[in-house]
Amino acid sequence: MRSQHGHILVFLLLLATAGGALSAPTQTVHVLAEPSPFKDVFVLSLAQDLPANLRVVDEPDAADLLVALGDVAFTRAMDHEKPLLGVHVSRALSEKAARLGCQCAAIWAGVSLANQVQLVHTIMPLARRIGVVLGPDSVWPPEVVRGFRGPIKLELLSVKDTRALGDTLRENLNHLDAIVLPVDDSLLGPDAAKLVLLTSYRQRRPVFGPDLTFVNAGSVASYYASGSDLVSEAVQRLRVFADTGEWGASAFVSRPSVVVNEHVASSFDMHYRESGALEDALNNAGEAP
Amino acid sequence: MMEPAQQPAMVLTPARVSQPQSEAPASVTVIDRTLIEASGARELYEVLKLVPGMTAVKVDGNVPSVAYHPTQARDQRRMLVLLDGRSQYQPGLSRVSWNAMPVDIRDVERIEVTRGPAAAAYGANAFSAVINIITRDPRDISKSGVTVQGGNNGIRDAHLVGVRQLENGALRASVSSRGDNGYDEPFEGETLPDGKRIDTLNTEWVWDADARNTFTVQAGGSRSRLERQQEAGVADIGEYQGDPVQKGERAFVSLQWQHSFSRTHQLQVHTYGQYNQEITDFEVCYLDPVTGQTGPGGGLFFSQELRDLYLQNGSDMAATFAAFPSDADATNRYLTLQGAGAPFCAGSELDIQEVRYDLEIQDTLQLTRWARLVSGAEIRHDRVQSDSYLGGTQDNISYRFFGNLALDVLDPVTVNLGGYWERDQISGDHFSPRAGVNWRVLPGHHLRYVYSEALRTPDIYEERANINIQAQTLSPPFASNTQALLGWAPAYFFVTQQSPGTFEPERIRSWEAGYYGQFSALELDVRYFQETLTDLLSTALNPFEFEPSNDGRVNHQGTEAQLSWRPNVSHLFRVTGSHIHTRTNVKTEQRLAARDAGSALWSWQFSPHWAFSSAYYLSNDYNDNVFERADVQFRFRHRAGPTELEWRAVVQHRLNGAPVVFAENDYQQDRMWLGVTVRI
Repeated sequence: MRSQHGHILVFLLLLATAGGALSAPTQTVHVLAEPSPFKDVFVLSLAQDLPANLRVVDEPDAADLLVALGDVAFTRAMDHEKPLLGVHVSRALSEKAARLGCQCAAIWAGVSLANQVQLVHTIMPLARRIGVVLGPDSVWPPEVVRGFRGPIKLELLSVKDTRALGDTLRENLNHLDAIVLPVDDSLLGPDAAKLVLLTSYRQRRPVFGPDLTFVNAGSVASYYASGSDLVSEAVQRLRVFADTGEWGASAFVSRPSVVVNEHVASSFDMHYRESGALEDALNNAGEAP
Repeated sequence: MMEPAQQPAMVLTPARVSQPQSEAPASVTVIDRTLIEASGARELYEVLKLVPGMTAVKVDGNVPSVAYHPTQARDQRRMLVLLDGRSQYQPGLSRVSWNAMPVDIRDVERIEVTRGPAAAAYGANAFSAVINIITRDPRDISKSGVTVQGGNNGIRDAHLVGVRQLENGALRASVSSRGDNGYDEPFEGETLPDGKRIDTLNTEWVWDADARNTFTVQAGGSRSRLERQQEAGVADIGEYQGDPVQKGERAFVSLQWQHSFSRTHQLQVHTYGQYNQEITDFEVCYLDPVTGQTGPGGGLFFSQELRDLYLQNGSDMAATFAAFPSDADATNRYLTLQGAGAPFCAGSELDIQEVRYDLEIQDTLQLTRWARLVSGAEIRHDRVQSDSYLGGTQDNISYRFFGNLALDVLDPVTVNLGGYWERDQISGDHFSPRAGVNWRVLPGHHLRYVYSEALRTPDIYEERANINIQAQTLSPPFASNTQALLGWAPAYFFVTQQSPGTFEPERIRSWEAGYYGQFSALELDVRYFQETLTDLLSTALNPFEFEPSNDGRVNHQGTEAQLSWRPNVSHLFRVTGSHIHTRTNVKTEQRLAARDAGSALWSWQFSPHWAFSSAYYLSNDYNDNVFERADVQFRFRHRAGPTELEWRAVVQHRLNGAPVVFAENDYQQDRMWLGVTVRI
């Protein structure tokens, strides 16, 4: 009897060892991106943070998995027909790729609308009606705005193009408490950004989002996906894929960073005027509304 | 990156610097366009009822009196009103004419009221408060539109605004006309003339020359026709041949240049000129002082001899009339007049023309991360011409220098230090200081303490009054034989007054402790204050009563609060209240000082197209009369093709039977009107 138990234990031990070896083969990852300092930092950080069963390689042909930074690289990477993770990719492009049947997913550029609204609610608790400017290529589809339920009413400000921005703002700012902008490179170029900020601030309506650059230019505050946020999210996605063979649904980064323009936040008498204090308040506030 | 000058400012007024309300060295009430529309107000002055401690009523027939911590009933002297940076304080008679202000309520974007003395930022006459009216920037208006509205009591209003967006700027032109019949009549069986008709023009052109230079040109004017009540002093000695009418004309042009040297250094140059003329015509057939009937003996009131007798009797009318029978020259004149054989009638006018040229330079410099300085200089030339009030033309040139320093000494503490030095030809040199400390106790909770001093310099009339009311027209035969019949030509009304020209400026010392907070869906501002007003010119200075004195004193002590609550997107509740103890050594300084006053406003957007708002106002009391009124407004907005229409119906209902300040201001019938705005 004791001898039988011993055989079984040895068999299970061998099975477990063999299973571990079978489930965790080292997979290789290659990062595609336009040459830039950000790419270098990203690749370096990724290589450091990846688990032991994932390894960064220099050649795409030698890689089991591809990571593409940005829309251009993502489009190019699709030609390799390998499992592909897009990072900082436009939502429209990733959804198009999914429709084409690629084995891919994306960490979208920008952050979720729920995150940005939570930020506005925390820093500006008196706000009750917020305008969300959306163009055809914005990261948030109109349905997300229309379907939003929470303590703040969102008003969809659809604009076809940059030329329509001025009139839309002029018509709506008076009955809004604030404006939230999406990531939308085609709609919000430098001239449009200036127009939005100047028009809103002449009427003393604060602008939130969409990213760090905008906050530096004059918007009050924003959740944004920092480089380290993207690395963390990418590592998580790669780990899951390595374990399950599935990417999961494309989405925004789950834990974005926060930035506040202290000068503008002070001008608007915002409750929190520096990034650390706002981040703490957001953490205390818990889930997004 | 936006230039600092383009970055937002919650309040601009208290210290001339962009700063959040919580860091301003004063209590501030902001009335934005949403609130203006929700109030249902027809005229601009009416929305100021929403400011705690502010009185805004028509005291004198059709002439609004707007005053913060008011004292005298017809007093507009102790507060500064700015319209797009142009002082509306008129130096001739120390007043602000809300009727003639060249702006329509629909052209206003926002009103900032600095409650408390602000002479440290704006100089003399920013005495009890500053009202800063900011019109709509043409760059922010998307549609042209026309509004018409009409109602009972002769309410007939129209407004037309045209907007054009340009490549680097925008242009707006607004014209408006408004009129009504004033208070209800008859009063004691008589018709009281207090109707009015006012036309305004207001234009603005903004040009963004480049990222660092913006030019703004504004021009406009107004024309007013006010029915005026008969002057009691004149009505006692004559029969008006028609009710007096005051006709006014006003024009202005303004140029502003904003330049940004860098992110930390900006310059603003503002120059403007404005012109104001008011003429009140009246024609009277004077009563014979012996018979009490109209007749040639009425000419005595315009005779050289009665003027001499009046001066000999120390400008005392009663003494003059008592001395008349025993004065040989006056009685001879009276007998001479009897030979004229026709009633004596004279047409006169009260005239005043005021011209102001102003140039101001303001420099805003971020000295360090925690220190910001606003400094500047101003030169102003006031010229007043009036035959009836001044006997000619008077000039006053003033030079001013100011500075306000905002220091964020410790992260949660802001210190504001300010001062204003000025010299004018009439009142000499003066300095007005202010110091304030704001402490951010917790996010959204702020305490403040402010000490300030201010002064009101005597106006040109008070210092240079030389009252002479000329007979502009005379009935025959007095017109053709003036010298022989009246003893002089031209002939003047016998009453005359001259100012001693020795008045000191009125002074105020004020301190306040306040709280400003935003929490949950509430915004709350509370202040406790004490104000000591000294050297007041409290006594009457009109042709019939001219008692020059600098001895008036007033002490205000009280509490004010304003609360806004937005529980959700559809509702806005706003409540204000004030409780003020006023003590004075001159009874008339207390006429408009209400012990308790307040307002409540509820705005409810109950569907995408429909909105309801209601307001309640209470002042207990004005001159022993309680003012209590409730307003209700419905608005319906819809589209018709490319056109947007907004209908509105407003009812103003007095809740008690008391008159407004004075008995003749009777307001028993509800005011109601219906209006429509079409925007294209």
